[in-house]
Parts: sequence; structure tokens; C-alpha cells
Amino acid sequence: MAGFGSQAGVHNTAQDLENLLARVALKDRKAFSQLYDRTSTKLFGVCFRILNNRSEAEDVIQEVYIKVWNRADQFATGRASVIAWMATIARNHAIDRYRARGKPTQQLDDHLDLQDVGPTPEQALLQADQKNQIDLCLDQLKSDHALAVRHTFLSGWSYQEAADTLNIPLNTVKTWIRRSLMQLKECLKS
Amino acid sequence: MTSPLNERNKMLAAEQAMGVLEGQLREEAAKRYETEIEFRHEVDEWSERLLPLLDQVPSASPSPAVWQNIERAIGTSKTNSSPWWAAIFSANFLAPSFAGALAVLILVVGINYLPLTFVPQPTLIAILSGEAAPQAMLARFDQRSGTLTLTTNMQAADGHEHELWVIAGEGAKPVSMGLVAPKATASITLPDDIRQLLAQGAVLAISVEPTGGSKTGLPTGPVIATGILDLA
Repeated sequence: MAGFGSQAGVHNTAQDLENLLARVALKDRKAFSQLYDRTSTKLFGVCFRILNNRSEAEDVIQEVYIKVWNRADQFATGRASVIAWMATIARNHAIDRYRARGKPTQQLDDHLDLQDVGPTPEQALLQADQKNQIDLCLDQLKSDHALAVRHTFLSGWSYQEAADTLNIPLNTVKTWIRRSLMQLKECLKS
Repeated sequence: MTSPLNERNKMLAAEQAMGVLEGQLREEAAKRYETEIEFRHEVDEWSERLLPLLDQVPSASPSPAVWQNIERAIGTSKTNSSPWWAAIFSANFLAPSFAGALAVLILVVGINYLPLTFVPQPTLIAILSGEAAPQAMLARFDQRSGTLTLTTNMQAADGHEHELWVIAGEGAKPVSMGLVAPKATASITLPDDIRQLLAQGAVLAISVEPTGGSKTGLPTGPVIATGILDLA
């Protein structure tokens, strides 16, 4: 009789995370703790980058993991990797929290150095192929367009916030980002 | 069949993944993500594409209180309540009326819970539960590749093994899909004749069998968990 043997070979990280999340869907607390250990510093960094406030980022990260615990079975219905799925939840919660404040509390010139956006050569070396790929693709865009995409995504800006912060007309920002996304999609296919 | 997303909706999905929408548009997109599988997949594909941009965000550790709060929150939340399909649980396939009762239950459940429009999708999932084994197993079936992936926390008692069965529908006999590795995630590529049985609404069940599995071709021990395959 055919049996379900354990999968042979070494799992890559993505597969490990998927297996952990499957256990979380079965309400395995130990697996959930491992998932937290492996992902929380990254997700906290992502939330902190948007909120720029430790206490708020900690509130958000709590909400994020409670949602992951409750909705882990829903992951299987999607197309994203575990880390992309979790990062999306984290970004959305952080963005909602950020926008609930009302006025933006960070200004571009306070916190960001435009020359500092890209990865350092060391980071670039350490990063995975896809990272290099999206950087190469961004390099093919006009530099101000690429910069708008990066900052908007990392800061969790709306079009309006991007327009205000980058001091560019709203319609121009929309056009830049939409066109850039289409070009990125084409570039990443190849 | 649903039609593929048009260009406008594809852009909306990209914008939702970027996070640039706000107000009502953002709420609508979030709602569509929950309810429209095509839209959800489009957003997911964009999230995956954009993910490498997050590599440049420095990681940082939240304070230990965060994990303590999370643990406390999930300890008190009612996450272990029985899902709706747990009602299908039955003690044993050997009960003569089981297949008939199952068919009725599937019908009732189908009317109440299944989506009104049928959208063929490549992945089906089922969570198998029983009275003594809540959320015992997660099964994911990739229809395109014919691969069934199982994750379980269960382990059979000494001298016994867990066997996985599929009941394709009304009046169908349970068909064995093999023995289940204890406390593991494992995949198997199913033969064509078994693949055809794994459709939306099919019931998966785990029975307790002697080492080596059932010798009769049907479950001989108690069925400890069941679940319905549904669209992913």
C-alpha cells in the first residue's frame, strides 16, 4: 500500500514556513511560537518602517500575529508565499494604523536620505536572486519613478501622501507608479 | 466560470498590494480580496513580486511583552470552536446508514455554505476534525499536479496506524489513499483514478487501523476525523 512518507530532502526556508503555518492552522502553539521566532523581527521592522513609532509598531505586530493565528487556514487559498502573506497582513495593519492618526507625522526630509534608499553593495550581495532582479528592474526605470515606487511601498504611503511628501502633483505620482508597476511586471517576467 | 480580471481590476489589485489606495477604494479592495478569488490571486501575485523590496528594511526585535500578549490573546480567544463541517463527524463508517446520512448532510451543508457560483480552481483544501481530535489534519490537493499534501499533529497508538480515505459522494464507498505519517507534513502524487475522486465536496476521513492498514479495503477501525474538500 502506498503511504505518506515524510518528504525527503532538505526543506528550504519557504517550505519550512509553509509547514509551520499548516501546523498553526491546526492550532499547534509550538509551531506558532516557532513561526513568531522566525518572522517577527522582519515583520516588526516592516511595521516600524511605516509607523516610525515603537509602541505603535508593537501594538500592530500583536494584531498581526493574532490574525495569523486565527486565519492561518486561509493562507492555503492564496497564491503568495507565507512570508509575503504575513508581510501583507503586517503592512495593511500598519498602514491602517498610520492613516488612523490623521496627519502624517513623518516628513521625508526628517527621516529619509534619498541617496540611501538602495541596498549597500554588501546587502546586494547577500540578497536573493529575486531581490537583485527587482533592483535591476527598478534600475531600468527613470530614477525618480523608481524612487517613488520604493518610498511609497516601504513607507506605506497612499497616492496622496506620496504626492504631498515627494512634492509632486497627485496625477503625476499616479501615472509614475502605475506605469512603473506595469514595467516592473514585464521586467520580472523575463 | 468567472471571466479573468480586466486591466482596470488588475491595476486595482496592484495598487492594493502597493498600499496606495485609501478610503472607500481601499475598503472595497480589501473586501474583494476576501471574497473574489481571482482578485485575491492577483493581489497575492503582486505582494510576491514586491516582497524583495522589503529586504532592505532593517529587522528589529519587538519587546518580549509582545509575544506574551499574543499568547494571552490566543489563549482566551475561542479559536478551537468546532467548524461547521464538524457536524459531519461520525463514529464509524461501518454504521450502515452512514453513507446516506452523509449525503444528506453534504446536501444541507452545500445549500448553506458553498459559494453560489462554482469556480474551478487548481487547489482544494480540507481540515479534518473529530470530537477527540479537533483540527487533526490539514489536506491540500493541487489538482493540476495531482499532489496531496498532508500535515498532521496526530500519532496512532502502538500497533496501529492512521489511514486516509476519500468518499467521493453520495453512496460512494470509502477509497483508501494510504497510511498517514505521524506528526509530519508529507506529500504524495496520487494515481489518476484516485485524483478523480478528489473534487469539491468529497469527504476525507481518517480511520484507526492495524499496522499496515486495513486488509479489507474498507475502514475497519473507528473514524476519528473527517473534513470536506472545498475550493481553495
